[in-house]
Amino acid sequence: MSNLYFIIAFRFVLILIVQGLIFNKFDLFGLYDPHISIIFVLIFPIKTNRIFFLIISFFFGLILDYFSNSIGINAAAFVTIAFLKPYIMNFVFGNFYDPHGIKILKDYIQDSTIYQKVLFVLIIILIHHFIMFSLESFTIDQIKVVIKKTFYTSLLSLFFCSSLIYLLAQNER
Amino acid sequence: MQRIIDSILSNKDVLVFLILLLFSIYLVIDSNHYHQSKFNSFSNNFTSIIFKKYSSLENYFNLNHENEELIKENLDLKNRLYSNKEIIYDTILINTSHIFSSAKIISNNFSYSKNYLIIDKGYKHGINKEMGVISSYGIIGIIVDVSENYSRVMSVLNINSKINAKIKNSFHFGSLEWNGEDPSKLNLNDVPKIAKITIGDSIVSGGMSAIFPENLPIGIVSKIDLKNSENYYGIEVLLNNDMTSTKNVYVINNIYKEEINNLKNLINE
Repeated sequence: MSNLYFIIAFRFVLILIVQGLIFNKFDLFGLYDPHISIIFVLIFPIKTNRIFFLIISFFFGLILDYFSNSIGINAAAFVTIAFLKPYIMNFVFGNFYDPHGIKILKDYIQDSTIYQKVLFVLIIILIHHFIMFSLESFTIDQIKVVIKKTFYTSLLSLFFCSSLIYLLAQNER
Repeated sequence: MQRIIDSILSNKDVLVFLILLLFSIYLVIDSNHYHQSKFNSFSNNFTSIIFKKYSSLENYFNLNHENEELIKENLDLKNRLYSNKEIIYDTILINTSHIFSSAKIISNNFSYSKNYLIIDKGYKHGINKEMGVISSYGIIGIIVDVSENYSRVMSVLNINSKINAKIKNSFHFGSLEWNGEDPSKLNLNDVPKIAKITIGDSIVSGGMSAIFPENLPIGIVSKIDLKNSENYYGIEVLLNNDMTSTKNVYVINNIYKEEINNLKNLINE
């Protein structure tokens, strides 16, 4: 069990540094940064306590905010995706949970198709980016800009997140 | 009771989520000035209407006092007018870089560390951000938000406010700040040690910013703190005007402000 927490702490620091120092300065077309930090929530171990997951995600987002000078915006987005993650997994991967409450320990990575995985990553990224950009603009008038930004940044994040997860998974094998 | 606790415990995930989400949104609003002003201009419009009604009632009872104040001010202006024979009645020569317009305070605060006032003029009346607000005796603050009919003024009694001020008849200037304690006293910082100051000296606005014209009265020096280790005075300034009971104010519009700011931006680039 302590091994698990060690892995979480290691990812926490590593992803924060990579996002905060490298990808925040990416600026494709001077505007779009890929948010690879979402990987932290995507590959967070599912067996851990849910409240622990929420609190860790909150602090992850908050520290990330200090890197990008946008206090609270990432924290809100990360808490939301951490909260919604089980529901989205249920939606995308199907009968991952038994209706009677007994967990079926199915290996959802091996038993799902590539489309399911991409869909899962995409939904989480879209939610995260939408919350982040709408909190950032904080007005209804700019909804078009928010949606446009969400769309393009999501594509960019999707590309980087999926390829990084793929590389990490390859490495682990 | 048991049931209430049970239902809370069974939904504790949702509860923790909501608490964290609300807390992060609070952080967003609290730490970013843009979000703060956006949030405030929404709540401003709502509360201003109530304040306006209340203030018009209150004004009625204060009429006597206000009259006295205005007579005093008139007297002062007349004295200045007739004691100074050199005034030339020629409209071309009158300095029109600052245009004054009157307004009324409809909500005033001095109990927080970040205090704001609301005045009853908005962009409909030509009020814009970063205009200065003064009373007959001293400085009130700077306009930070404007809605259609009302404006929000960052009071000098706000720990974020910094106003350029100097000692009268000298060129030593410093920045006037509030430490969040006594609403009748401000601190004048960054005045160099070589300046000659005694208790009772007048403090006037410095004219280094485009917001306030030079030589507006602010207050008098009430305490001088000379720190040996530093090269600056710590000066306590007693305000001329009573911030807690001011009602009628003037808004200053510097018509050359944009020009000055453009020039400043050029230097920064």
